[in-house]
Amino acid sequence: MTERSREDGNGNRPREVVVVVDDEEMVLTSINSFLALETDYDVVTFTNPEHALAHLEQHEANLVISDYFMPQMDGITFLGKVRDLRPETTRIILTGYSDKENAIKAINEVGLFQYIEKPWDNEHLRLVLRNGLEKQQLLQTLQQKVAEINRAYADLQGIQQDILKTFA
Amino acid sequence: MSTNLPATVVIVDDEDMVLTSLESFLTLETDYAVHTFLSPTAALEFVGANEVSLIISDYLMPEMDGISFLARVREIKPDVTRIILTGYADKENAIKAINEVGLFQYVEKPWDNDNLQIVIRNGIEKQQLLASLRAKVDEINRAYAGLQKIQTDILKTFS
Repeated sequence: MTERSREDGNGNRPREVVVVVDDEEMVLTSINSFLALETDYDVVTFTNPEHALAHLEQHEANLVISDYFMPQMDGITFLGKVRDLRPETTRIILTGYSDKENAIKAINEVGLFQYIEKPWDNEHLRLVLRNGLEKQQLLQTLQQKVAEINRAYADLQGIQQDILKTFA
Repeated sequence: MSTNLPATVVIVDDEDMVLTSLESFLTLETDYAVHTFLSPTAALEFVGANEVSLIISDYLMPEMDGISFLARVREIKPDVTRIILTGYADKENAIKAINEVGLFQYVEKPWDNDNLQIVIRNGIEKQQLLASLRAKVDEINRAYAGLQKIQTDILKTFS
């Protein structure tokens, strides 16, 4: 597992965390070096999905990419568990040509953002990640705004009750 | 906000066959309201006058190239998700334009229908999230304006 620090010490917002899971070390190295070079995401990689789940129990992540075929647990089962653990995380599956049909079937089942075929095109991967992260940020902002609205209405009701009490 | 209406998708390509193929696939597999145009100018008129969630445009068209067209769309309706359809030869230029014109994604010809459907779904979802977010921000501003008005009224009553 590799992890870089999330805080940059300048009070800027923390970097977005991308978790990558694949039983092939070469895939992890390749994605990790591309993202380290081309983005400022905080990339965390795992060869074992069970270790990734243990990590996600303790740490937040904005996006998870998983391989389809892995010896300990298939990618769909893994991403289903990620959804249970952190429903707000964007989930993407990496799939070989032969698993493509199953990956597509799982898209609605497990609520996947997109599937990416191996061998992937780095530019395409970068766009899918950007869009997946943007979606997660939009959802988060929306939740914050809804909470803000609820607070504002609670304030209004509080004032109304105070006024009623004053004149009762 | 009328989120229950099916999302409107506009497709622009100078090849009729591409339009027919995309339209029949989307009509069969989704409930989107699909509008197709051979002419980007006609499409711009439609976008100016109607609520649109997402636009897919071909790259190479005789009247106006896809990047210029999508840049015009952004000026008219900045929240509409924009996708470019590109042949292999134009791929590099399409990728360059992604940040320039703010494109959601490029889709290569020949496209894979399953992939296209997911890209469109995600693009529509993004547009709807943006629209909900704007609606919520407006609601917050109205609520705070309401609070301020009450405060002013109270102050007036007791001054």
